[in-house]
Amino acid sequence: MIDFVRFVPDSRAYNLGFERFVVFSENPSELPDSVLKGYLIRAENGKELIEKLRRAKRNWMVGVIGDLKVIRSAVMRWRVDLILDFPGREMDYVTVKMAKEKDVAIEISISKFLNSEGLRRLRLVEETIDLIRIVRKFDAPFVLTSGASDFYEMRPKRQIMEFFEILGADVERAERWMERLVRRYTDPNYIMDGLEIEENFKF
Amino acid sequence: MRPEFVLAHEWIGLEVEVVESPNPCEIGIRGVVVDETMNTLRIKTEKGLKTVAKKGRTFRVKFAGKVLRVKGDLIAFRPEDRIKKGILMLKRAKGVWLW
Repeated sequence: MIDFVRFVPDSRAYNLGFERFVVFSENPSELPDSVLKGYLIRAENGKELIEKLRRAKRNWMVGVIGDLKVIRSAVMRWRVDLILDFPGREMDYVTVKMAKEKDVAIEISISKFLNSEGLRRLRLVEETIDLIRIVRKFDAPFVLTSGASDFYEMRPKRQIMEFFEILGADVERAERWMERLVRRYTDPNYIMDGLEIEENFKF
Repeated sequence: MRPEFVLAHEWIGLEVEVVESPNPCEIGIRGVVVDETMNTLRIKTEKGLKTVAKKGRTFRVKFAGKVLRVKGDLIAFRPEDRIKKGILMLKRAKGVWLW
């Protein structure tokens, strides 16, 4: 069980049922080695995105935040692994289709629901249902996370999954996408989908 | 040579074993690849030549000193096309650093 967060979690976070955390930060070199490092790129335009992508190290998972224009160009970049979720993110039909083609995962997090209320939350639910429907249609990679920026925004895995299940997400598929994404950076025997090294076997 | 280049390499002469297949009789076929077409591999086993389809099967193959598990769908090209298509596939795959 893995979760994607925006802060370095302490020991309390592990009690929520997670074994590992991917921490997204704008400066991942400062993160401890106990967590998987994620490079959060906040870009205003495509040029800035490319400039920041050049700084990404090989063992950093790369997530992008930006407006629709930035997200569209991020989806096209080979180095980008994930489109991170944030309040006000715009995702359209074309971007989701492109994400499937280019194998870029889309993060859907619970934290933005916790930080909004009333009508805004209602709109958020509507938008998320629509997004999930499009993701389902194209079978695009997506991950369901807490996206927490502090401990109090974190929720147990089961709660996150149940919440998104109500909104129509295929939870098992999301788990598989997440596992695949993390394996890319943690498992030395994993090369790509359908190609792996078998260490313990001898012909 | 790096193990990922198995997707762009000649398979004739490699030692393979069928690990997964929709046909249970094919599982366990083991030997040396002696011929290849776009959709099949001809494997020389102890019991003779066996022709196994690539699509839908998973193969265990010895390559570059390592044992790899390869899905047949990834190698379902003509052997002469494999260099081009295999390299392209590796280039497009996320997390595979060719250079």
